[in-house]
Amino acid sequence: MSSTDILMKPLVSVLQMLRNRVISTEELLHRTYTRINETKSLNAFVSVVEKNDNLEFCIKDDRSSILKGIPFAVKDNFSTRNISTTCASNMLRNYVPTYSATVVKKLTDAGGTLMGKTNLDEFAMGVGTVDSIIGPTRNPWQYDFQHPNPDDWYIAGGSSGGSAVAVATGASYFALGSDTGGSVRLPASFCGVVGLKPTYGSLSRHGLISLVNSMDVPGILARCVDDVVFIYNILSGNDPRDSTTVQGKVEKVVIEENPSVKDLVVGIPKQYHGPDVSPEIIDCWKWAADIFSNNGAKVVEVSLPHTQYSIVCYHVLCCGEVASNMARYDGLQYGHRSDGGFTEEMYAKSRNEGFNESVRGRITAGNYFLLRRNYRKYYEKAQKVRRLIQTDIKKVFDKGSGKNSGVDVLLAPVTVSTAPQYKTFAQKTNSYRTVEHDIYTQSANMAGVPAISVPVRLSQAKLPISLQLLASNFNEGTLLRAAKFLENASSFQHPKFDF
Amino acid sequence: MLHHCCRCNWLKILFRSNFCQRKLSSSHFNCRLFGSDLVPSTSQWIEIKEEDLPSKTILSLEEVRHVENLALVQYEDLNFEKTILEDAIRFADILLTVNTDDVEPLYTVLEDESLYLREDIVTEGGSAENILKNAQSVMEDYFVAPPGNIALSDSEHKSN
Repeated sequence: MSSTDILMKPLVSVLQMLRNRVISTEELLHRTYTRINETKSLNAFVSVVEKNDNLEFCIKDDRSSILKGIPFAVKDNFSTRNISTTCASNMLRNYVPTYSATVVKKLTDAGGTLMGKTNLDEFAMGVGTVDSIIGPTRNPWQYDFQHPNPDDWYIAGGSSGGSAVAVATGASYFALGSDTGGSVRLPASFCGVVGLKPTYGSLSRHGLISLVNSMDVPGILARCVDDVVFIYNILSGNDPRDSTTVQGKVEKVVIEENPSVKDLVVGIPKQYHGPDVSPEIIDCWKWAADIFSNNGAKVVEVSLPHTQYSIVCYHVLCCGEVASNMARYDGLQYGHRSDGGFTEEMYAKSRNEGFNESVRGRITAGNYFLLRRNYRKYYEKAQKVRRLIQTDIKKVFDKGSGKNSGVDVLLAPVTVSTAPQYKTFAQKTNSYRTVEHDIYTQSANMAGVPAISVPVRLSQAKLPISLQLLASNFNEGTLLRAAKFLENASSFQHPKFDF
Repeated sequence: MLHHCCRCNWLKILFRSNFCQRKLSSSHFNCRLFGSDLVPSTSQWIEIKEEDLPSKTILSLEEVRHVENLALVQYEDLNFEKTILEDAIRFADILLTVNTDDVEPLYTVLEDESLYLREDIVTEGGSAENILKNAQSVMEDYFVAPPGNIALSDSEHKSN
C-alpha cells in the first residue's frame, strides 16, 4: 500500500478528487475490488457485488450525486434488493430480499456504490464475528498477510466485524453495522475505526432483520469522525416505513475542524471500572479524562449504580425478544425448509438445521422466561431493571445543578481489553464472550442514548485501544463534537497494512 | 464465590469483582484538579454472593421438553439443553437481587415520544410474485405446508 493510499483517505478529500476528476469513479471501484481481493483471507465479506453490475451503475451515474459512487459495505443483516441477505445463517443462506432497507436505499440513492455484504455472528448474536456460516472474520491488526497462520490472529469483534474490517483495510470508505448491545462499537474498537450507535429512533430500522426490536439501531463505521457525521446526516430522520423513527428531533450535525470542549461537562461513570479491565484501558481512560479537563471541560465523577446489571437485564430481554422474532422462521415462506411429515415437525427440523447452537439456546431460554409462570419473575423484572438503568443515565444528563447531573457527555471504556487472540477466544462459549465484552456498551442500548467508539492509541501489543462517549437522546451533535475533539487529541493513526 | 459450570462461564465474571476500595477516592476528594483523578483505580462493582440468590432452578426433563416444544427447536442431547437452560436461568437470577419496588417496566425508550403511523393508503401492490419468490414450496399463489394440527410431541410419536 502506498503512503498516499486513496482508499484510506477521508470522504471529503475523495469526493473533492472525484469532483475535480483527479480520479474517476470507475478507477476508484477498480481499486476497491483489488483491495477486497487482497484482503480476502480476512473473510470480511459474505458476498461481493459483481464488478460488472457496479461498473454499469457508475457509468450510468451522472456524478451530480452526493456520494459520487463512493464504495461502501453493509452488514449482511440489512435487506438488499436482489442481493442475498444471509444473516450468516443457514436459515437464510438462499434468501434474496425483494426490497432494500431504508438506510441502504438512502445510501444508494445518494450515489454510494454497495460493494458487498459483510460478515457477522449468526443473526448478530455474538461479540466476535466468529459464529458465522462462512467462518470467522480476522482482524487486520498484527495479521501476517504474507504467511497467514490459520490459528494465530486477533478477532475482529462483533457482531459487525466484517464491516469494521472492510473499513479498517480500505475495502470500503464506510459501512453499516447494527448495534443491539454494542455490535458496532465493539468491533470498531478492536479494529481501530470509529463506530457510532445513534439514538434509538433516529435511523430507520426498516429492512434491518430484527434481533431485539426495542434496542436494535443501524450504526455507522468509518475511519474518522467527520466521515461518520457525513453519513449520519444522509441516514438520519423519520421514515414512514418505521413508526419508531421520531419526527422533528433529529438535526443535521455540523462539526468544526477543531472543536472546543470548554462548555462541556464530561462525566466519568465510576461503575465503568468493573472487574478484569485491562490496566492499559484504564490508563487510556485517565489520559482522556485529563485531556478533556486540560482543555477546559469540567470533568466530574458520576454514578450509574445499575450498570453491572445491564448485562443480565440484556440477557433476559434479548432472549425474550429473540424467541419472538425468530418465530417467523418456519421454513414456509422463506428461509431453510426441511422435510417433515407434519407442519410443526417440519418447522422444528428446519429450525434445528437452520440455526446454530447459540441462536437455539437464546430461543429456548427466551421461551422459558416468557412462560406464564416466569413472565413476571424474569421478563417483567428485567424490564423494571431496564428502567432503573435508563433512569440512572437520564439523571446524569438532566440539566439540573445537583450532584450527579448536568453532564453533557460520558467518557468511558468500550470494553475490557484490546482484541483477544482467536485461539483464546474460541475456547469460550458465545454467551460468556457476550458477558465479558458487552458490559460497557449495553447500557446505551437499554436507555436508547447515542454512543460512539473512538480509537485513541495503541496498546503494547500494537492493537487499537478505543474509548466510548455517550450523550443524551438525539444529542448526536454534542456527542460527535466531543468525539472529534478526542480524535484530534489522540495519537492514533491508521496503519499501512502489508497486503 | 459462586461455583460456575465449566462450559458456561456466565456467572464467574460478575462474582469475581473486587470490592470497591475507597482509599484513593477519599484522598482525592479535595483536590479534583485533573480528570484522571476521577477514574477509579479499582472495580466499583458490588459483589453478589451465592447466598444473595434464590436456590438454583433444577428443571425436569419434561419441563425442558415442554420449552423445546414451544420453541420448536431441539438439541440432540436433552441433558445438554437442560444444562444450558439452567445456566441461563441462574444468570437471570441476579436480577432478583435488585430492588424494583414501585418501578414500572420499561417497554420502549420512546414512551414519551409521539410516534406516527403512515397514512392508510395503498402504495404498492401486486406483489404476490415477490412474496412467493423465497418460498421453497408453492402451488399457484399458495405456500404449501405439510398436514397441520398435529403437535410436535405427538408427531414424534407417530414418526417413531
